[in-house]
Amino acid sequence: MAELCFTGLGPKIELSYKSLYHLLPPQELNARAMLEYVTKELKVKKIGILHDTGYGQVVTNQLNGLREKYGVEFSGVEKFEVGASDVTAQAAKIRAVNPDVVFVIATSAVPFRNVRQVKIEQPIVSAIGSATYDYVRGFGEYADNIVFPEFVVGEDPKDSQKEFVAAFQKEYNAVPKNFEAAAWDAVHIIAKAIEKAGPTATPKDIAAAMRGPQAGAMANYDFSNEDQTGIEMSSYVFSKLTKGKFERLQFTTK
Amino acid sequence: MTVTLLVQSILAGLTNGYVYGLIGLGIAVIFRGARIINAMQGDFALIGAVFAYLVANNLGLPMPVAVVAGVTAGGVTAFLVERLLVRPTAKRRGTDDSYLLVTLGGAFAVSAAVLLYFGRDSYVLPGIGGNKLVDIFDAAMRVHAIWLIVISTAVVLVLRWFYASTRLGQAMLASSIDPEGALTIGINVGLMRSFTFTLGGIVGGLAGVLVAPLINIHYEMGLLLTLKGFAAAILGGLTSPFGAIFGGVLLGLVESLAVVMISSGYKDVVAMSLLIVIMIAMPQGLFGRRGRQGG
Repeated sequence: MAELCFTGLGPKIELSYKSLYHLLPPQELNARAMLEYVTKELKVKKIGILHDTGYGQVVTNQLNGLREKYGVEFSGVEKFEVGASDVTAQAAKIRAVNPDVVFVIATSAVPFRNVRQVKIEQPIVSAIGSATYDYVRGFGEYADNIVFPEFVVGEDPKDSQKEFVAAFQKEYNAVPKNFEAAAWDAVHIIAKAIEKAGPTATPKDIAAAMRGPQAGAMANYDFSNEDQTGIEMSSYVFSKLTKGKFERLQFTTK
Repeated sequence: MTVTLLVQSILAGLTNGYVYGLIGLGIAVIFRGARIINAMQGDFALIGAVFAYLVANNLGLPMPVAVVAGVTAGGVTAFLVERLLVRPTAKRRGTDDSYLLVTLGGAFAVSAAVLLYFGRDSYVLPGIGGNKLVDIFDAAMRVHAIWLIVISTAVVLVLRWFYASTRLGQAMLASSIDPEGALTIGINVGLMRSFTFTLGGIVGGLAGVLVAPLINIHYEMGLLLTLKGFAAAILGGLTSPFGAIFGGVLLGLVESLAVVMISSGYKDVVAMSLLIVIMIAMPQGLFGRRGRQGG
């Protein structure tokens, strides 16, 4: 039976499953997207990283693996435990190394606030996990000058996303983001697969019908790919959080 | 290491230390008056913060009103905890472990209730002075953090006066030191325990409205604060409100200096190692003292 996951690729054992399909990118791709932006758009070399020991550690591990390829230097890497109530000391250490840009990778709004409170004025680049309006609320007055490599900027959607965004706004009177788009894609992928496999299809047939390229609102997938998602860099868009609002940047990747 | 970095780490340590100390203060108040380790102290703070947020945001009332609402909510919650959880446990001759488990259960219940009502999101409570910062050797400290330190110190002094100079304070202490002796001289021990918890809840609610602007309100806030507050109270001495604040500040400073001087990965190793060493060398804590036993 097919299983659709709203996460990126997890432990290696997942690669042995034939019908496990991920609707979110692997962390290696998220890390690449962050580095693409800072090296090709901001053209910087010195990066400071502030990350938590959960999601942040996973992304940072991938960043470390890509460091040489992108020719960047991680001038400061500080971590804090998931759920930490204050990371001012770690943020101060990042400030002290004077990076060109700061990566903040966490599942909490606290480090984003602390970074600005210790007067780090460099741009912040984060990962898709923090690109939600829930986090924006948590950032408070510090929801500014933060760039996210993500997939959906509801305020300025790509042409392929306009139908989804309009439907979401009509239904919920709110602007959707990535995870809402992934849910939309999941339902449509299942519906298409059932239609393709036919009314007498078994779960195995439906799983087989999904295993291949799928065009979605969030991204274009290819579930036959080794990473069980097939999302490519070209699906990313880059947004900048400016005074609490997401704005789609012109920068794109291939 | 630069002067700015050192100063910033000291300021961060002080701020966090007072956060831990405020929660530890509430734990010490309740332990001093009832000899019960209250695992819900952080949740009194969470409830205080939640009520303050609801009053300020949903009802649109001014912040001073929201603060009073938050503090009151903490006190009322603590009173109800004493009546509904602690008193029945005492009637059944509960042991120290029983009180800890019962309040721990209450803590999980509060956390789950906040998760149900608020979800996983975090919310911001405005602080005193908003987000204004004070510049000290190019390091930054929030104006609100300075107020937190001032108010915490004032609370400790008021509590010191309360226990030393008021009949009610003396009666609460007597009830905890020797309940039978207190009964003999006509003190209503049950009522004193209710007052103790209510006072602890008021301190907890105040902690919540003071701490929330610094750390955001979210459903896990209570348990996380209780753990740190407990460490602060243990370090300083479970019976000493001043000790709880001192223990909190010591813990906060050790954590932030460990981050800056050693590594952020070793922060908890260093801080908890200090806690273990002090507990072995001084089991009553830095300012705690063994209570008088018998005659």
